[in-house]
Amino acid sequence: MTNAVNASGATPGSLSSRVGAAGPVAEVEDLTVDFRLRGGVLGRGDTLRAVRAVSLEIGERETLGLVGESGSGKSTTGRAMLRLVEPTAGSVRLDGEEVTALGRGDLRLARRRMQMVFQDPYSSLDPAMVVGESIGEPLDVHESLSRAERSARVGDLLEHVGLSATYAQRYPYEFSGGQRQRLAIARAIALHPRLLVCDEAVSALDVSTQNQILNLLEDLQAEFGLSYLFIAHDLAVVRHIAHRVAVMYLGEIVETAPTDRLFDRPAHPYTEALLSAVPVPNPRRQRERERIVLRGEVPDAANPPAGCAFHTRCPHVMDVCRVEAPPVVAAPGGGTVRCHLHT
Amino acid sequence: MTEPLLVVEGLEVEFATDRGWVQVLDGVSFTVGRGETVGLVGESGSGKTVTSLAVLGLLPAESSRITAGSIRLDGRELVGLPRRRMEALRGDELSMIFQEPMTSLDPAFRVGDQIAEVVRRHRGGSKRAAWARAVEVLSTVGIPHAERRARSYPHEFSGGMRQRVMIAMALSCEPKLVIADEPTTALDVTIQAQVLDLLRAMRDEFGTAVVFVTHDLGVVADICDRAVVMYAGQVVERAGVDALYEHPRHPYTEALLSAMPQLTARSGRLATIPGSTPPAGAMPPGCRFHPRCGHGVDACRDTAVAEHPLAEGGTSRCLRVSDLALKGSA
Repeated sequence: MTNAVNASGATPGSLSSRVGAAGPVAEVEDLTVDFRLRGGVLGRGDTLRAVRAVSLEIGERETLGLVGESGSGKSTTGRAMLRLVEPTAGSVRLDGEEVTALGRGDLRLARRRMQMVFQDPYSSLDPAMVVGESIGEPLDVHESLSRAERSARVGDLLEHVGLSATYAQRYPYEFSGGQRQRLAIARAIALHPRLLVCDEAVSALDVSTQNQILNLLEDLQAEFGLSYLFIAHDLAVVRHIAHRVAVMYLGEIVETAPTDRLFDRPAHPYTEALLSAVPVPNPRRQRERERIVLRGEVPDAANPPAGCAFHTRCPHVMDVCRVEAPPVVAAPGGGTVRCHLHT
Repeated sequence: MTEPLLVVEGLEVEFATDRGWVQVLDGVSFTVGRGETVGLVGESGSGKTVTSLAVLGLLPAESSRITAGSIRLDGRELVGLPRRRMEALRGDELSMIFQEPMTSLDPAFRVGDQIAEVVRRHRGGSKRAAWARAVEVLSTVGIPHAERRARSYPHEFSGGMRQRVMIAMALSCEPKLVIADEPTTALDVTIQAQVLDLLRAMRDEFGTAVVFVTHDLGVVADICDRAVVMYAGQVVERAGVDALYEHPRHPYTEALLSAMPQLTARSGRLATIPGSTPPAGAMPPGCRFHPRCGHGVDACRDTAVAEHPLAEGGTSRCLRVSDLALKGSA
């Protein structure tokens, strides 16, 4: 991947550093998702804009980390890309094919190529079914296999995620949390997808189990050429697994960058504060660190601040930030930033 | 010499299961000094939450029992204390903060009334004085417009603000000891930083001692003076935090530290601890960590290991403690 040609003509190390000549696996442009809030006069609810004109690209064998706090819209972005929630506007292309325009049948076909892994593996494993049934379900929908072929494929998938093929006959409750996450991953990769959206996939696990799953995801990426959208709130995990990172705040991407640049030289004040708020596991270093404690909380997404959405908490706020939304500009060292400090 | 504020000694707890009583805590001992913050650290199944519930007298009466050991708060034995006496202590000398404040706040009552109720139960006095105290503590924990917000219901607060309300309630009677069980785990990291700052300020201002139960080694590094590392129902290491992180004396501590992904630099392949925590009732013989330990020798397999006191203070439950040089976190 080191010789990847940059399709969009941007400088190396910027937005599309891993996008090869064949173009990105996933391209999202101006994706917007509105939710109707209940209540209001005559049941006419307000609109909450959860995702605001988000654009991103994920190249082949690339992991894009998507970070942000609750209400940032990171999860909704992932779901809207798979149309698990319907986008209000914007475009999502998978290998060049527009996903937002697909009818039900075509969407089902497209779903073979993009799958999701959730925080709670129970959401993709039926507790009343032996796990071999759950893992083989996507095969039943999309491929017609004989019983023997199907059972061989399921056994193969189990072994790929580090479990024994004989586990196919067991029920989900017989597995530990980490094993259940392996099962969910086996199901997600059954149809050889191009893109896996991992939504807080390791957040509920103890650290040693979490690392086993992260290593597995890296192995599967190398083996099958998978691309990941890795949605997580744990920044240390993202530093480890992501090639590039996008930071969301109140529905918008405020910064994107190659992972090292983002962590070593954050360009957006929010990214800087986010990184400084994570305590490092060494007391001496933690005491010596300069910490930025943000004031207040994330504003209500149904009623976002005017100008820059972050201005109410920003330590560097200027007059212009209160009235004018900052444009997206190239950030020093690669990537993009949405902040008046850089304009 | 007077005793530390909290002394837990040889605590053993059993839970009722289909297969009869099963031991979940085995000989847990640690102390907390006045004004000190002590981390109780471990992964799921380590027994850290069971330990904290035992101290609070909140273990379920029918399905659990303390079979041995002592818990002394300010010299007073809590094990075997009648329920009513324990209830009188809780919220007064001893209070708690949980991960999810909604489990401790009643959604049907205004938060000011709930705090005032705690104050009146333990301190008596007029309703008016108790309400004034509620407003005072809400303001202390950084709730803006405390006078007005005291009239709000729990659901009208954000997650971070609810945790502040919970802390206000826990501090309303100026307890000597607060047990905080994963109090920031459900919070966003910028809000976690605010709440940790608040807990630090409370400790400095009121001299409150805190037992901080958490799986997060970053949080322990940030707020704790000492740490007690638990594994499979036992304490495996006790130490001051600087020593613990830089020179761990138990292989499990070393394994946990090396498994932490780093924010400051990308590691190569992430370290893992092979296998998983043994379930209660199926503990391996010998050292409980030996099947997963990278430093094990034959003796670890069949010799139950006692806690060894260390020259520099603290303890380690490892047979090889004197000949191992373990790696800390940089």
